[in-house]
Amino acid sequence: MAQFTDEQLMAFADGEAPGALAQELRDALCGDAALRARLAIFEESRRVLRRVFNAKRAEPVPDRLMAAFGSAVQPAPRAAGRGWRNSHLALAASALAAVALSVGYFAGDRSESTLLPSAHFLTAALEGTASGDPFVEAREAGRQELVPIRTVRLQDGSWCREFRFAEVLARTVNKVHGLACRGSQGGWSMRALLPSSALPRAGADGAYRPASGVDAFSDLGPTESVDAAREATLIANGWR
Amino acid sequence: MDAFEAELIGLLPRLRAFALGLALDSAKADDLVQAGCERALTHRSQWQTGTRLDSWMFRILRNLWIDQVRSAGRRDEVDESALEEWPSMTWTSSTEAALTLEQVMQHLAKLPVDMRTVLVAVCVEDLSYKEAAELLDVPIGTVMSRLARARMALHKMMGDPHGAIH
Repeated sequence: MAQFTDEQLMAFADGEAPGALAQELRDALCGDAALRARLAIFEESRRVLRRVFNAKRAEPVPDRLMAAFGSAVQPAPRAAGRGWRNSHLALAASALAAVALSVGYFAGDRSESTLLPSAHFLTAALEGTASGDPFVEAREAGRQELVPIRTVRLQDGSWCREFRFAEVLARTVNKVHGLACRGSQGGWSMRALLPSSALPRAGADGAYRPASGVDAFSDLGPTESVDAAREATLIANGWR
Repeated sequence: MDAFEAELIGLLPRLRAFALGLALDSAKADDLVQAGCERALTHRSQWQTGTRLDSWMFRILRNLWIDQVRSAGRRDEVDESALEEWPSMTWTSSTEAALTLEQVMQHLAKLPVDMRTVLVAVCVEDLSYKEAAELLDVPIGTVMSRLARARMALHKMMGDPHGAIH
């Protein structure tokens, strides 16, 4: 019987096991309770750490951390008990001209926060999902959902996609409207956050309708729109 | 405010969690994030547009923390050989659900800082092994070995209601 090391089991639990090893492990796990128990150790440690640290990430960011960005912050009108929200709103106001930021992060109630989707999730979702289709991943304590909105090509030939993202956890809902672009190595990464008020509404024909006055891609220079048929070909060909 | 600062502000919730994994204390973690943001704003010319700002910031936080630990003359480095000595305990789902932030921090405190870094980078931040290796400037094999040993050690500690080293 094959012997598996802790590192091999961990890589399998983390989705990093090479195909042949993953297949070998899947076969072995079926009939081996002891091996399943060893695998569970790695699944559980990830789950515990995520639960504890996600709670930390969902906390509002304290005022003092914004002090490092002092030069950009207008003096904030402070009403009792609403300090951090107001200073963020003032900051958001000064920010909107330069870069569109998620309004949810600044003005949402305390149960909302803006945690950007991980690069892994972005890549998994944007690499193979057509615009308008949801990509959903169940999490330990909720789910993450990303819907690509549209695809463009930048002048340098790289591909970018506008999307909306939601992470639903036990007590928090995290919403992001943003732009991500595909790097030369194939990974997708965030390029900009956009105000949720700039989310486009699809028309009756399903065509893209930009929100009034906002072009999501304006900071990225001239762009070329990609229609559904071309997008499907790109997805099928790995964006080549 | 420009795009760089906006992206940095968007990262703050994640940076606070990452820093907590290093400092193991909320106030110290926020001090670390503050120092990290100041350094990032001062040295922003060193960040290459198009590369990942989160990875760059994680690296800044980790280096700052290690500098702090060294300048304070503290021996943060736990002897890795001690990790193998904890007895294996039975892990149940009720044990797992009952674990509080404080308990997890107490357990993490028994791990060397680079093991904690790799734990948070992979298990919380979803970095790939390759990305974690780049963050720590070590080979992927080292990341995997640290990560596996850290998780085995955590498993043993979490199974013990007192988290004590025997």
